[in-house]
Amino acid sequence: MGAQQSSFAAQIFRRMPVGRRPHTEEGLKRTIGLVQLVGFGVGATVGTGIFFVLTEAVPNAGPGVVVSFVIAAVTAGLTALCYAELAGSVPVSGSSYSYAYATLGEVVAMVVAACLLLEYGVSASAVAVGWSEYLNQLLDNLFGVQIPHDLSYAPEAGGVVNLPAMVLVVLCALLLIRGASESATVNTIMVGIKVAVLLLFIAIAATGWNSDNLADFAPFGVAGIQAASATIFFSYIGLDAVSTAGDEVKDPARTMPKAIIISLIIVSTLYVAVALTAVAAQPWQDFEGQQAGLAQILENVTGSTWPSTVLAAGAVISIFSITLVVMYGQTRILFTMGRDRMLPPIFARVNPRTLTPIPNTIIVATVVALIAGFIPLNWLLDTVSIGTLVAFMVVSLGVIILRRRAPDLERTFKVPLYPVLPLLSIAACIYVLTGLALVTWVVFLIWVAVALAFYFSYGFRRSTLRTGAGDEEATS
Amino acid sequence: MTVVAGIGPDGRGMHAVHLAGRIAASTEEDLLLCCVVSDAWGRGSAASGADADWRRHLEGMATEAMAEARTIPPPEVRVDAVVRTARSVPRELVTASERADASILVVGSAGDALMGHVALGNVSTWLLHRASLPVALSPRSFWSEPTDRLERLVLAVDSDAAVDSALDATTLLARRAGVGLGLVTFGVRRLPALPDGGGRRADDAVYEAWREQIDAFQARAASLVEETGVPVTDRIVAVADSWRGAVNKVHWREGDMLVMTSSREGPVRRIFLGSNAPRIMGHVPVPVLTLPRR
Repeated sequence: MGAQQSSFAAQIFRRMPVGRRPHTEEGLKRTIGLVQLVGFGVGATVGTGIFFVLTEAVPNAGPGVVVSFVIAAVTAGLTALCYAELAGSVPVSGSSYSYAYATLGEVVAMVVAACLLLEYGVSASAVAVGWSEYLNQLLDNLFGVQIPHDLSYAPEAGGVVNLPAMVLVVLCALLLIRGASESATVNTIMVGIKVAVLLLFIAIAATGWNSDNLADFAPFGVAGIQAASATIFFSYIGLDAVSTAGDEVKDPARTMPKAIIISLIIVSTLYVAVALTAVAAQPWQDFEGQQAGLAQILENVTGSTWPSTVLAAGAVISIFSITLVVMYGQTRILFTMGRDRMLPPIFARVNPRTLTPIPNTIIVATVVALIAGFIPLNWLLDTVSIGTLVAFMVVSLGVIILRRRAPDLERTFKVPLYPVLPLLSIAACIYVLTGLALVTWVVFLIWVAVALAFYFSYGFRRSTLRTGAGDEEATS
Repeated sequence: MTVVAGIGPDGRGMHAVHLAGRIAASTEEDLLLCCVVSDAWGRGSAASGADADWRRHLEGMATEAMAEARTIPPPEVRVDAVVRTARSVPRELVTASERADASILVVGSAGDALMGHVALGNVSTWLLHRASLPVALSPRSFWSEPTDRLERLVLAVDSDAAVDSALDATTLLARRAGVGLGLVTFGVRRLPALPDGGGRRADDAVYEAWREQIDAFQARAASLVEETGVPVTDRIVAVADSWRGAVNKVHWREGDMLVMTSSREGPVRRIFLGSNAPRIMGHVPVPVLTLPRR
């Protein structure tokens, strides 16, 4: 019995040997410097949630939302540092699923994968829903027409289906199937647009500054601020992108923490300024249910439509690109899982003509589009946050476990102030997580249970680690 | 068997005659020059009387163009010429090819093709979608000396089905021309600028899986080709961040001809190019032969 148990444990905690993944290209050159890395961090983070997160967070926290932004930023920074160490101890590039698989074992990797489906799949849906709000605002400003209410809101939000969000997801999927990706130039332009419209917002909203709006700073006390910080965490997702570039960074031990901290300071400064000018420009009670919130505020402050039109246009363009990038990330994570046979091999099928995993992309797009079409934004944001936070918590825990288990492992980057920093990171995650509503937790735990049930019925028996099988030829 | 070359009455498509002459000399076939005068109104229509003078003028031009075209092919090739009038130029070319029991129909590139490159025009697009015989496209201003011959066929491979479909026709042509066969697969891979949660090299695994597939396709194709007695000269995987870059990775030689098959979506025995083929074609600096799906 005891022997059986230990063998079961050995099976579910088996680890992916790192040498198993061949490198396609010759060893990556360490060419990325501090500036470029900060560019990654800011580019991947800024703009994801800031365009619509205030509408959801301010009704909980009031003007105290500014503090929530700082809490979320500190949490994001701590977890990103831990993530960088874990990424630096596995000599392949990958997602936190891959790192968990290589260091913590198969069953943990599956839990992380379930979290990543929330962090990517559901966040793609959330972003698409936010996009449809700004699209409607833009159409209204430019042509005085809007897509009918029934067709632009989920049932819970008083509509029938959010069609624009679904259309956006389908468009992105088509682009991905054709092999589109964001070039460095396009990405730079997108980051430029995002930062420019946020600066425009700050400058114009500041003209409507009214200190009376800040008087009731924390109407729901600390609990409200804490709850809002969980929702707001959504807008810092992407900072972990810095960590995954570790094997290409010059002098990672010094550059990595600097890059993470600098990009975090840039992003959170922008966010805090946006939040502060927003809550000073209108009473906190007005945020609830506001569509395309930032554009609305500009319209109310100036009484004219052009600033809101510019902001909405910037949001429509840049959120489109965010949706594309997030969906891309999701398909590639699922591809790796398909190759590891933690998922059916259909996810690892590559079309010979387009070099893209077409069935995988179609499955992702279908699920993301359905969620975007039928589930309201406020439900989505918290689900994304809980998934991301739990994944990061596992990563922080992983750093501690790995330091104990393999102290001599070569690491390109080590977190400073060990073990304080990983423990702080875990504590910050727990603090933010406890602010989430019970229903979010229930949904999340059910989801993880489903993922584990799938693992025990599929991956547990079929994973390449167990069977030792390579890839079958998957042709399409 | 005959090689048919289509030219316009205004002398357009002379470079198709250069290519057709080279193919016919390489495979020791006859050459039929076919010039179709477009008669959009059709005889018997109200405008046909007024149109008659214009048509006669065109036919006169066509005869002159034919006289010039006859001087192009190598002297050992037996040349015939016909001038026809029809409502649809490509349809008439196919009809003439069928009558002549043609092995290949050769047409020129559109007038807006880049110098030395292939581009599809109205006629060639129609042919690629509907013709049930092999169609060769000559690059703009293609030129062949009487002593020039085909030196190598390069078969584009992107699936087992494409290989199966092309194998007989390609190896037959290679044997008749006495040339070897290269295998090439083109791919476009654009890496995202930003890392994401999948890691900065998230796409590497996808690319590896693709390479494994392509290597398997090519290995299988090579063994099938060798079985027919045709030597396989090269196996090339040309990948870049654009179609143009991928095409330029191949070391093209004078005397090459790229062979492409119709895509799987196409109706049986009809050429229907996969979505990539036109993009590849636009950058290829050598003639392109497209085979109908079998």
